[in-house]
Amino acid sequence: MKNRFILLLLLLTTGVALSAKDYTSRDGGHLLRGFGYERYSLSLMAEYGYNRTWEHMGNVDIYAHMPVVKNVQIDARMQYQSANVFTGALVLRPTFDLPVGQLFAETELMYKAVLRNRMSDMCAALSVGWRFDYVSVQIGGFARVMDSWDRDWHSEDKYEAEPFNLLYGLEVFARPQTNNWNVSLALSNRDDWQMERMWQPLFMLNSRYDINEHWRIHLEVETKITGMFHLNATFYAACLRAGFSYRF
Amino acid sequence: MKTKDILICSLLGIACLACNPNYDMVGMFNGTSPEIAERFQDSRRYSDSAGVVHLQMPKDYRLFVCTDSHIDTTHMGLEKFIHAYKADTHPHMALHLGDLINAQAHFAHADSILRLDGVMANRKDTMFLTCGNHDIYFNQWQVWHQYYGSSSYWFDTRNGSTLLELFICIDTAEGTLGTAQLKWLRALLKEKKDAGYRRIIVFTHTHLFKQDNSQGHTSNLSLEETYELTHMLSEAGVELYLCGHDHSREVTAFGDVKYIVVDACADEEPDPYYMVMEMGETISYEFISLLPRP
Repeated sequence: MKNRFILLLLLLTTGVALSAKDYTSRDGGHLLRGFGYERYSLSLMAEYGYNRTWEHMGNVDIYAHMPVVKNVQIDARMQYQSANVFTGALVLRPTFDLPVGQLFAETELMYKAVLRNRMSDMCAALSVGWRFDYVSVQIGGFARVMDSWDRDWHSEDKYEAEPFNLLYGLEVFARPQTNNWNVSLALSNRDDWQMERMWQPLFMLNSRYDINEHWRIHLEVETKITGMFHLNATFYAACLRAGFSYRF
Repeated sequence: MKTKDILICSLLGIACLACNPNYDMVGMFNGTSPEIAERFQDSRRYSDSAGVVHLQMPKDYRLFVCTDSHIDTTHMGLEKFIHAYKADTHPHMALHLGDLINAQAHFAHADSILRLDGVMANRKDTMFLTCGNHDIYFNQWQVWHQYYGSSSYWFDTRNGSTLLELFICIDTAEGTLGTAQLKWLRALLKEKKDAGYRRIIVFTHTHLFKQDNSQGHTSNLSLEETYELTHMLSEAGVELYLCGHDHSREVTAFGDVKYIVVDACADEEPDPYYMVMEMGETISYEFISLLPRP
């Protein structure tokens, strides 16, 4: 048993050493462009959104991608929705290059100030994922605390905690990550601005095009359907998002 | 196992589920009943023609609440609830919070249990219902609508000319209120907020919060709707939000509104309950087990 364990350890070590050699790209990061590259980038997106509750709205999103050290990335995101909602998120993402694809772990904090409804929604998530050229999968869990800003401290009124929700994501790409354009279909219960309950999936169609070494443009469509898992599905929300990234 | 085998097994699994008469698998991708906007119109048309119910009640009365009876071939839980409700000697009224039936073709059966002795012959009787997701499976909205008329309405209880409780029923059977119903609710709450009611109670089928996964894959309202609705209810001074759907009891308070998920009373539930509320200047409630007493 002990020998098998040592053999396994040796194989893994060799595999990691080989992967580091095989998967080093021209810019010093992982060969799979789009998630391995070790350069700072800044993105700006504009959105048109509609849902049955807040109806039409325009949103502005700002993203910062910061590979602070090799294989450790920090993402910071902010969104303003004209429905009078602000969202901020911070993600810490260590990555591990493998002979096939890349493993990653995410710790994410998301805070939503729902000014129109005088309440806040705070989510903390832990997840792991595995990205390949054509597929990316992610699974984890998150906790949520909602709090009203008008809480009555003299009654039994309290914050609302949802201690565990499953977080999942599956994205399928049309082209390998090294390509200068790509289109993907994604199914998840979270996007960059919301973590929905586990039975409330979001469907996304994402695309990107790299104009040159520095500039990338994005076009994304997303929809939310309610009642799917109690077998009465109906359209609830949709969003069209377009923008660009600048890679330093 | 090859990818092809996995695919074939998955398709066979879906086909088996689709053959189960209790699962409206088409509804997973597109609800088979008319969607909320149309149901809301149907409900409003009915309510406008039927008029508003004003129940004369003493200042202290009892409210019996049950939900998720999921009637198919058996009806023990619902029948026990109806017997308890009818046998009660205090002035009382009752609510059923949806999922009266389980799948298809059981409305006649369920309705015969609700009516029992023929006393509850029309909407002006003292049991009020809303529809749940199971009630509108297999395009059955029209059947529910024919039996019970409206799933978006309000009524009140009065003592002489003194206003007691305002009850508002909303339709959340497919996990959203929809735009028109939300506007109607907002306007109604604004109009009634200062009308002088002792308290305002909103009842519906679907729960807002998801504190646990006690009932597996039940969906609740979306986040945006959760924010909006909780705020709207708090602002209007609503005291209670009663719902079912989750099958498992939850009592919480948020924004000074009490949210109660009532346990299911379905026969297949291991621990079925209904709820009795004492309505007066203050309210109290207890959950009554439907299991046979030892």
